[in-house]
Amino acid sequence: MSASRNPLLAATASVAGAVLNLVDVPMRALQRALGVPRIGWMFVAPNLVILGLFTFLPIVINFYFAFSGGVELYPSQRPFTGLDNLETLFDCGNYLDPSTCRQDIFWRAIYNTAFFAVVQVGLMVSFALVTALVLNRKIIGRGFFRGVFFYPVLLSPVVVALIWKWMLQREGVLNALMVAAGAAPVEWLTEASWAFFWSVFVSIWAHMGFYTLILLAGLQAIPADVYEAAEMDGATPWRRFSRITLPLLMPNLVVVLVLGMIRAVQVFDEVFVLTGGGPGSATTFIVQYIYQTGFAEAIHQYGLAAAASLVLALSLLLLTLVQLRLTNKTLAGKAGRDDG
Amino acid sequence: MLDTFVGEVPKLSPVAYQIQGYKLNRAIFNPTAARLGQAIAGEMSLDDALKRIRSDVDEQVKASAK
Repeated sequence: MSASRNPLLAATASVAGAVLNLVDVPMRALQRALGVPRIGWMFVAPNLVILGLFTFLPIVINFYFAFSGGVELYPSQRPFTGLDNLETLFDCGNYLDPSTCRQDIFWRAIYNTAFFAVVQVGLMVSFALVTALVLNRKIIGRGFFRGVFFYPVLLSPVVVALIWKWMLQREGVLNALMVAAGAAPVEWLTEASWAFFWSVFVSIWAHMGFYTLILLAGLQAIPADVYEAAEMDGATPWRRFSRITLPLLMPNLVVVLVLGMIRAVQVFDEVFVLTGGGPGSATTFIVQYIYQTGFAEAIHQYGLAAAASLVLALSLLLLTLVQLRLTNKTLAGKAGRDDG
Repeated sequence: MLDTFVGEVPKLSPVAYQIQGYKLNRAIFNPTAARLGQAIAGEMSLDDALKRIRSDVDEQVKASAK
């Protein structure tokens, strides 16, 4: 339908034209003043200013905080202390035994985070892959199930944690069902191993949909004729999966693995609301240690928290480098196969 | 029940009253709760928890003096 026939479209077009004419005059003046090669900077300037103020400046400030002491917030009032904060964090009799460390909670948090990342990412990627494979088939209600699996991703982490806390607390829904079935109630969130299990479970429940979607997109990009050819050659379903699906899905799997790992290392909000890091320090992770040291304790030890976040940033940088290396290797391997 | 509670209040140590107004009281409360929680969860013995409470409080007081 043309704009001349639709009055609403015509009105919108004329308003847009008027706005463009208004912008046109100062833009031409700016272009004359700056010159054509430099006008591009003007377009990226707002983004650069925001990134600089809210991303790069905090990184620089974090560096300074990590190498300064005291409890003052303003950098100018903080004395430079060199590597003191890092030495405090790494002051350990035996790195494998957190109780011998000066900052034992930091090391417990590191080990908890490493264990959480390995277990959570391993399980989540496996479940996401199975879910994507099922949702890629022509099943009844496929659209509905795709929505159901993706829905938790849209929820706020605090809402997710509160919903599960409501179910898992001592007087919660799950224990009510167990008591109704004649079983004894279980301390789901105050018994260390159960609290850790539910932290992993809730985290998988909340994030799996996003990774399922990435894998589903990868599955849909695999040409159907490859499967048809394999079927004609008499390949079994397992052989089709291991020789066609998995290799062609590898770039997506690498992305999912590394994104999931980075997210798992940064875990905080859901678990903090669900268990508060307890019982004891059973579900205390590295970001919670940073938050508590820097903001929740009576004395805000910003330097120690900044040093810990530096350690976290370096480990995430390492993970990202591994991702780049793996992705390059996968793509190089794929290109080699395509050429062959 | 409330009478029992009220009856016990005068027997409290004066230090217990003073700590309520102490500016670093949270530097004592927080490690006490956290470390005893760790002892209850079986992460450390009660003796170790008491040692940790002492060192945590010392560290916080030292940090506040910087």
